[in-house]
Amino acid sequence: MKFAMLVTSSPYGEQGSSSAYQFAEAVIAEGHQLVGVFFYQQGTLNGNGLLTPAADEVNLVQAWAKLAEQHGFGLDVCVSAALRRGVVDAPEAERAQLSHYNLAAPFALTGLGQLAELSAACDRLVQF
Amino acid sequence: MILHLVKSSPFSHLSLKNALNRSAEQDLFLLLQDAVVAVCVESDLHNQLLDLDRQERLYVLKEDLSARGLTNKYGKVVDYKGFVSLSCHTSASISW
Amino acid sequence: MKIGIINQSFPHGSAAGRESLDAVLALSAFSEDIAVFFIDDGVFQLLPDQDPSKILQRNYLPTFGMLELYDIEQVYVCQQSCEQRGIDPQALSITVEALTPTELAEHFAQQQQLIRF
Repeated sequence: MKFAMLVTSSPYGEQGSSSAYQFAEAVIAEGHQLVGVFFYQQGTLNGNGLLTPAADEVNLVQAWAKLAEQHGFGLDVCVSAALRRGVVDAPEAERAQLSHYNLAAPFALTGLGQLAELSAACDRLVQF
Repeated sequence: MILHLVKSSPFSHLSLKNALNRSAEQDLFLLLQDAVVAVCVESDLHNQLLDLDRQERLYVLKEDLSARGLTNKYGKVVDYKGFVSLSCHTSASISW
Repeated sequence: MKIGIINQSFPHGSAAGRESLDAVLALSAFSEDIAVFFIDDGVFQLLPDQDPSKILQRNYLPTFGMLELYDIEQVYVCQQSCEQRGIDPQALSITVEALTPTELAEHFAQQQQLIRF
C-alpha cells in the first residue's frame, strides 16, 4: 500500500514528530511504500538543520534525513509556513537578503501543491 | 470506516470525548501518546471505552504505554506495525 | 480524491485556521471533492466582526469568501458546537450547512483523507 504522511507537530517539545518518525519506519518495515512526507505548520521546524539536541538524545532532523535517503522518499517542507518560522533555504535567504539559511538536506521547500500531489499519489494519508 | 487517532489525556483535554461523540458505529480508536492513560485509569469515559473494547474497536499503542510506565486494563495492545496495519484496514484516519 | 478538512481551533490564538484555509485553497486546485468542517472552537473562525489587527494578527476572515469562488460547496459546521457556544449558524460570515454529531460522523466516513487543524 502507498502511504503519505503529513507532519504538523514540532520536532522538539511535543511527541508528534517522534511518533511520525516511528510510524514511517514501521510503514517501510512492513513492506509498504512511503511516497513522501509533507511538513506543515509547526512540522516545518523538522527541517531546521540548526537543531542541536544533547549528544545522548535523538536528532530527529538527522534521523529523517537518513531514513529518506535510505528509502528514496522526499521530505517536503511547506515554504510559506517554513519562512514564517525561520526555516530558510539558500535561495530564499538570498531573496530575503538574510545572512544565513538553515534548511537541512535533503529537506526541500515546496508549495502546498506538493501536499496535493502526495495526497493524490497515496492510498493512505496519516497526520501527526 | 475511520481510524480515530487520539493523542491527549482525557483528564486534560476533550479530544477523546469529542472524537467518541463524532464517531460512526464501525469506527476504530487507537490511543497513542498521552491518550494511553484512558485505558489505564478510570475516567468519565470509562463505560464508553469498555463498550468499544467489547466490540473490539479499541486499540492502545504499546510503545507509549511502556514509555510512561503504564499498564492498560483493557483495549487491545498494538505496536507501530499494528498501527500501520490498522491504517490499512480502515478507509481513512483522523488525528485528533 | 475526497478530502475532508476539519477546523477545530479558535482563530488567532494559533495559526491553525489560517494555515488550514491556505491548505484548502491549494488542495482545491487538484481535487474537486473537498469538504470543510468547522467543529468545537473552530466554529469561531467564521464569526463576523473580527478585528485581529488589535493583537498583531492578520485578518484572514475575508479569505473564507474564496471558498465559494474556488467552487468548494461542502462547508459544514457542527450544530452542537454552535449551540454550546451560542452561535447561530445562519449568522456566520459564509453560508454553511449545520450537521448533528451523527451526521458529521457519516460525512467523515465518506472521506478518503482527513486533515485536522
